[in-house]
Amino acid sequence: MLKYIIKRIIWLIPVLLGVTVIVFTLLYFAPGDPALMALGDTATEEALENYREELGINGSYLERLGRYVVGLVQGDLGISYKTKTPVVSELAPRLAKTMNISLWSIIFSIVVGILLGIISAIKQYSVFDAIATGISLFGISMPMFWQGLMLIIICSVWLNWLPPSGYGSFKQMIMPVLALGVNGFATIMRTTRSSMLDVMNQDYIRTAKAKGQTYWNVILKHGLRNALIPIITVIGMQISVLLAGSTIAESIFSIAGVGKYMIDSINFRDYNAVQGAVLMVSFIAALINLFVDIAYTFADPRIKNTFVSKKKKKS
Amino acid sequence: MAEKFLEVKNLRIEYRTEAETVYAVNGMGFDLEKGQTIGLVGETGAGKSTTALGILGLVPDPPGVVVDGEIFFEGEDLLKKSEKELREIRGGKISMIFQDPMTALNPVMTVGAQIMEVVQLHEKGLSKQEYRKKAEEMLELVGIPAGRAWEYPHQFSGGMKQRVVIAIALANNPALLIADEPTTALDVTIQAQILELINNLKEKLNTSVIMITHDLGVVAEVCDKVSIVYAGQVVESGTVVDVYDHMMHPYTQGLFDSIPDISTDGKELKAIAGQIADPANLPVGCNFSPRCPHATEECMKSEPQLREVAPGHMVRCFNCTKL
Amino acid sequence: MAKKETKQEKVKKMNDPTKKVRFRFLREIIHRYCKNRLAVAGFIILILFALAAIFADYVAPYWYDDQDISRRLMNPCWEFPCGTDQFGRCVLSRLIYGSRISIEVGFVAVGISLLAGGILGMISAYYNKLDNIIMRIMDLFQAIPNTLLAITIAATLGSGMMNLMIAVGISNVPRYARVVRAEVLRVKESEFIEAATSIGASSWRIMIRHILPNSLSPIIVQVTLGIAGAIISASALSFLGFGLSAPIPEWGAMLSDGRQFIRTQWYLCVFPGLCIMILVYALNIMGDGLRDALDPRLKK
Repeated sequence: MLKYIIKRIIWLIPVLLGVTVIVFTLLYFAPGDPALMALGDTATEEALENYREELGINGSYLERLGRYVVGLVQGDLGISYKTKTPVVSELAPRLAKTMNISLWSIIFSIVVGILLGIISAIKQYSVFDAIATGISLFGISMPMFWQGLMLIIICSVWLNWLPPSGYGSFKQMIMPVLALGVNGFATIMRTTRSSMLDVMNQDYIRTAKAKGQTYWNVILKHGLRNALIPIITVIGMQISVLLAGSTIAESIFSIAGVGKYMIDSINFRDYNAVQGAVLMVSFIAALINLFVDIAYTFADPRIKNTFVSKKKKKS
Repeated sequence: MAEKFLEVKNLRIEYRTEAETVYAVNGMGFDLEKGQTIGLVGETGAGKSTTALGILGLVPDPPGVVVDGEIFFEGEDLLKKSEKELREIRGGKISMIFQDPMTALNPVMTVGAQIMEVVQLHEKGLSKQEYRKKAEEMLELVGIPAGRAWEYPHQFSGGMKQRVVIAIALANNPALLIADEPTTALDVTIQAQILELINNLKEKLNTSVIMITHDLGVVAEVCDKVSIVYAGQVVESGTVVDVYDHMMHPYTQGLFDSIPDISTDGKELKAIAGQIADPANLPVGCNFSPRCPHATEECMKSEPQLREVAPGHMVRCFNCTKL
Repeated sequence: MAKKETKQEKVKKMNDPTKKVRFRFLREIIHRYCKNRLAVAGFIILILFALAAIFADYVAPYWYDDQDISRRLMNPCWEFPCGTDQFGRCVLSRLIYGSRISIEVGFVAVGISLLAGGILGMISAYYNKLDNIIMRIMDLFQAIPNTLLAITIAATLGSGMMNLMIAVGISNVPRYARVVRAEVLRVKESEFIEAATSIGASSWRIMIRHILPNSLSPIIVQVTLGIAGAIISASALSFLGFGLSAPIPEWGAMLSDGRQFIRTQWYLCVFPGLCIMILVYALNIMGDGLRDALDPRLKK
């Protein structure tokens, strides 16, 4: 078990390296020369070259990539073209905000999604089920940025309940968390419902009932425990979606997080900053997915054992 | 009259959906003394399993509805008990072995935990260690080394899983054990082992058993009494000797004729003509009449009642004495 | 009497073994699909949007870039059911023209994903040596959250319709590669492919004539849901300013423009989003309906 976890952690290294190469390569071809933009058409070739060196973007593709990766290992993401400060120090305070909002949305979507999914499944065909299923279908169909705008119109403009932008207070958190969490909640709810419906028809549920187990224990201990396996997979996928979605949420609610920083940096053609932001969010997503994978092996003993038996065969 | 240990009277269970109503159990009745084993024999879809679920109060609802009947267990009607009272009985005084061991165990719990669960539910106040020990003892009892208690179901073979299911069923020393085709899903060699196991444990613990099966051989091996079930009704019942050697009902005869026999080598097997009665669309009169070679006009019009043809030997047929 | 005969003839034709079995199969699927009222509603909505897109020139009361400052920012009224924007353009007309863009972007983007993903998936399923390499590369692409990947690609490519479609299309390639690979592997294992191999059919022939038609149903479902996702992604990119911009009436871009008037002209932020949601909702319920219709086991 421990070996499996270690193996998964080691596997993370090539993944992160590969992601770095992909993002670096994509942005390498991005239009616009920062030196030319900063110094203007009249600058001499020498001045341009000096400027590039200052930013660390001189040399060939491979040279630059090599330098970037070496820097990355030491926790250096280069310097921002715009502010000339290290990207890492610009990202750090923003990351806290992004993570705060994302984590609350994840918690919201998991808790509400699983709860409603279970109720929908055990009360299949009831009015509650019909309404919850209908809402969840709208939930996955609504674009997140529109959800955000609608929330602002209703809660801020019409009802004047919540501030339309900013970060910090509890009231300011409500709308971003909701807007970001609705898609995840809807997806998790749909998965929970179908997975629970499937599981509750299994023979082992009948066995549990025949043991004299109580209603809720049958549902939670036997039903949900088994239904959880596909739900965990979906949660893992949703976390990535949600982290990326925070870019949009942050720009709607004017929150100075990593996502807004990234969007602003693209508009300034500050590609070092963009790269740093994309990589940071991707790394966090990869890390969270690692935890999800490990959680998965705890949820499903069959996986754990296929690994153990393979190991045994090898030795 | 002495109180029977278990008495099922006129049990009727239907499955109602928008499209149709399936009459699964239609006036089922049988009784059982303490320590006895009764065999319920019939084709697939005859309502045997539904009867078993009815006794435990586990008929899936919806669509299942218990329409009528009484199930007296130790003098009390199970159908009148509350869900809470039934939970006390399930897995405690009455427990059940299910047909398919491959799917009857929870795949994400160790087998030991699954045995422990049923003990914890009915025998309160022990320490965790004692529960664990009890689970391991039960496994040893059914012939699985205690060391495997904390493994998961997918690490066991089909026969082993069925032993685990039996261990769960017997963990609380039930007064009544319902075994729903416990050997159908298993290999022939394993079948014999499992039957022997049930037989031994039954004698050791003085448990009454309802053995549900379509295999007449199994019944002969383990049962004291037998009831032949057709379309949710008992058509013939009595001791094994009564039914096997003095069979009266045409359906029973048909069942025995359809068993392959080495001594009749070369002769064709006699299958019962026609299809098993469609429980959504039962015939008027005797349910077996469309397939019965001896059916008369009377059989098509009115339903026969169970008649005692010899002490303890009941038959549901108008013509059985004339045949 | 005559009617009855034709019916019998029809039945005869349907049961005619010389007729291709596939058509009967198709008919059954359509029949099952039509039983699901919600799915049919989804199909009708999609058709309505498609008609609006095709006949936009006739349906829309104004040209999408018909500016007139004298009627700027008018609330919804009889003449302008969805109001007018800051340049006095009819929002309804812009929405109608916008359906062209969203539908086109959605379908083409998924087409790109499907083509690239399909080829990669099939190669991967068919050639064991390449399987590991291709799938690991797909893993890498999937490690980058989808929206971020799309934004990065869009940032590199710059704005414009084709670039938008490519950005959304490429960011979804790994998902299709996976679905196609899984389906091809499943069908490949089945016996009739063994039979085709044993009579000496070439790999490409087997792939195109035998494997493809048999792996279609999950792919069709994935494509339907994928178009819905692509429409959302594309409008999100435009909303952030990386897709299409003024004066093109892309729904996401319209929302982005309308944001500055959110306190006074709420309708500018409502109707374009409503259009996205209804179209995506229609595609989602169609996807669900197709899944049920194509897999009878699911519907008990």
